[in-house]
Amino acid sequence: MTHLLAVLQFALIYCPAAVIGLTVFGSDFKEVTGYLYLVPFAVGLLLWPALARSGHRVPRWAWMLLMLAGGAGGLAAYRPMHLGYWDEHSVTQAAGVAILGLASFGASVRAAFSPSGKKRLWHLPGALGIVACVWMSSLWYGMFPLAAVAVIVIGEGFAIWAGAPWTQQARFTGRRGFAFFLLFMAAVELFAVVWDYNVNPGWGRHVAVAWFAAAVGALGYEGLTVLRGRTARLAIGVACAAGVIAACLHPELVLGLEHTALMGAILGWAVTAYGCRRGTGHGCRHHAYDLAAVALPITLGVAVSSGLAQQLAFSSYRAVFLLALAGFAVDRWRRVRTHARAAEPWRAHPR
Amino acid sequence: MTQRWIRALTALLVGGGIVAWLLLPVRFAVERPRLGIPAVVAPGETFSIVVRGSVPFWSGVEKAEIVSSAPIDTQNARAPRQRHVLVLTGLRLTGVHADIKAVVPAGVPDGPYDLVVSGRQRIVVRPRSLFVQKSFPDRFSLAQMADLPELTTDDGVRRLNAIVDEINVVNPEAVLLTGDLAYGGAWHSYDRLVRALLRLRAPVIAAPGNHEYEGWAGYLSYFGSPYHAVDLGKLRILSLNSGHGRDQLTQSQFRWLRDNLPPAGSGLTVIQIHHPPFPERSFRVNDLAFAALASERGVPLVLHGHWHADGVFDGQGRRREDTTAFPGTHFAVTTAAGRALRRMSETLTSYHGYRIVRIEAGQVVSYTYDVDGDGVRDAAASVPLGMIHVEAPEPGTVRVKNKLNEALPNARVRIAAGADAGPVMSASRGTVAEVIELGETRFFEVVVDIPARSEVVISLLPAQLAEQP
Repeated sequence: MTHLLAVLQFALIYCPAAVIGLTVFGSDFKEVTGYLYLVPFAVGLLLWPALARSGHRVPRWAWMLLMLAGGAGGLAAYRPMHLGYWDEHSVTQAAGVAILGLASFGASVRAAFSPSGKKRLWHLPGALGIVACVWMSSLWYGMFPLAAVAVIVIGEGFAIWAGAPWTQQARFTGRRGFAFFLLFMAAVELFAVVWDYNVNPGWGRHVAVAWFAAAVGALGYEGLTVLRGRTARLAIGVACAAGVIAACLHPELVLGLEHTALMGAILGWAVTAYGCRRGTGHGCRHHAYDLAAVALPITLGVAVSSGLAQQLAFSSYRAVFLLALAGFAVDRWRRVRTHARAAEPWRAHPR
Repeated sequence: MTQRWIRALTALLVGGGIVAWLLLPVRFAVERPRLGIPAVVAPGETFSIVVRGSVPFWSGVEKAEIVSSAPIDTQNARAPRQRHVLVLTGLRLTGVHADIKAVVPAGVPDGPYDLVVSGRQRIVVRPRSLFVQKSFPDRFSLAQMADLPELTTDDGVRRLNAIVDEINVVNPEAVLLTGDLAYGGAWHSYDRLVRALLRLRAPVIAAPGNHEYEGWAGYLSYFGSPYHAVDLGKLRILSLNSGHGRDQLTQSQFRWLRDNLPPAGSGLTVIQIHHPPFPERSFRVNDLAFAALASERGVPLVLHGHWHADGVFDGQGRRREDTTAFPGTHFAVTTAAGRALRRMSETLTSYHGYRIVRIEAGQVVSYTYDVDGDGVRDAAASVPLGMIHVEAPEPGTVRVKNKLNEALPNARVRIAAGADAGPVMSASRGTVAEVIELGETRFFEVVVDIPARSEVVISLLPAQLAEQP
């Protein structure tokens, strides 16, 4: 579970928290410090493929140093941020957050290429539950999750010290079109509540509820992989679509916890789908590298959500959500059928 | 085995260090009262000090006191300051926020005070954040302005200081700033803005505009929460943020407004929000719901900026250029105080200005200006800037030129006494409200009624002479 937490923390904690910091608590791109905050995003985007290919060449001490520097940077930046606001033109603060972001990204990739141990059904939901607890702390202060990232990064440093090896088995399959789309749209819709509440930390409760719901969604997805009845799957898909329609079409529901919970459940569902590989039997096996890659759709979603918040009156983008959901459902159904045919060819060709 | 113990011990030390680093020492920032969200209280009255602490559920505040603010424009001089310790009576902790109830001791003289909040390792000072006032007058005025001059140039700063000087003569009970305070959002602009605003004698109540989002961290750092309620006696001023994102009143703010807007008939409330709710450069989310709520709760006046021109709407969203005497809520858009002007009406002329809202017996009696001097207030006009001049031809005398078509009741001017002035002086007109002694120099603040379109000379006189008719 802690392994999955290290994999997911960049995608589910650092990236959203940094975008929230820049949007809600202010950013100033007329100063160098404003751009420092963006460094981890740029590095993450550019270095992801390179690290996947040749990360094993990076010595263990370099990883540990990065984790240590990230933890220290995050903790150093956190304290002044706590009493002031986000971008106060402090190079120390901006550099601290940037180093934390780099370490967070590094920890996510490093954990994705480390052996995960025995897979349990509750590992991913458990990790999402911890993410929810971290976000709950933003009720106290919006940037508290960054302190949690610093702690997780230091923990990953300890794991590397303890001898976690680099396994080159992980491969990103890149077959996740509609899951990517759904993650993106769910992030767009979920984080609307943050822009609405703005500096009022009431949004912490909403995001936390969303991640708790995501844990349930993840459990549900894993449960469904062992559920063979098409009718049950169809019923769940239809219920999801109906919920989305009901929750998204009215702007006031952005502040409703039921809306948040639904978005969270979809997010958890999509995260699991993104990182799930069917084995020969029932259930799915998490591919940590794919799980780490949810950072891209989620960060894009949070950023676009922030942009759309500039025009909250324009809510017709929500119609696109249904397209993502329908596409995802069709895509999953098609994959399940393909898998069933491959696993049990006599069903497709009874003779 | 030994290595495992070493790792465990290291983890324990690192973990302990992190916890200590995150939590200790307990520090705090004062969120209100502050410039932009002042507290106006009577001696013996309780008010809230809201602090944000570095440790959840632990305020860290040990003591709070108020120190009389230095008289305006004398910050560099040594003036005697009075210090009063506040009695802290209650504490409500919500996460890192602490709402501390403080009582102003009885007998504290009226005037502006700096709030000083101290803990074990931190002292936070909020200048001119608390205004002690024994009783609120039955007749008083508010000044309101929006879209201030650009403060990136010295000329902009000079213009803002001139506005501040003019408003100090008008002597309102509070100054409402309705957004677009610092264009460009540079921190040095906010710095200059705050320095100018600290020269205002009255409490300053601020709301952000859309241009505040060019330097949002700056606005938050200097003015704090973007929406809030401030009570001035029985008058409640609600400030909202419509600059959020792009021209909108967010759902959470609308809920807050619904919760904080008193029911109709239970007191006087004035709202300020940068964008008007009606067409032509308005906000678009919750616009009609906002207008309906204001009307339903009997809010007589909602003040706006953003247009850089004057305008007034009724509750149905109709522009009113015919009369000020229409029922329901008045949505008044105030011209720019310093930015480029726009023409939003065929009939109204545009000029830089501000509004003077006059309140009597719990009612808003006027908020517009008589532009053509025919004795009838225009339906939408604000007060033009640059129509009040104060000059000091010689020590002990000031000449006030009021070119406005309306009188200035309770105007306040400062007269520097001559070298031969005694400690007790009176004024040839009006009454001496305050004497400021700064070393060898003595200033007398005189409150005087100044008629419309008049020139008034006020001289300091020995007290016994002034008593004679």
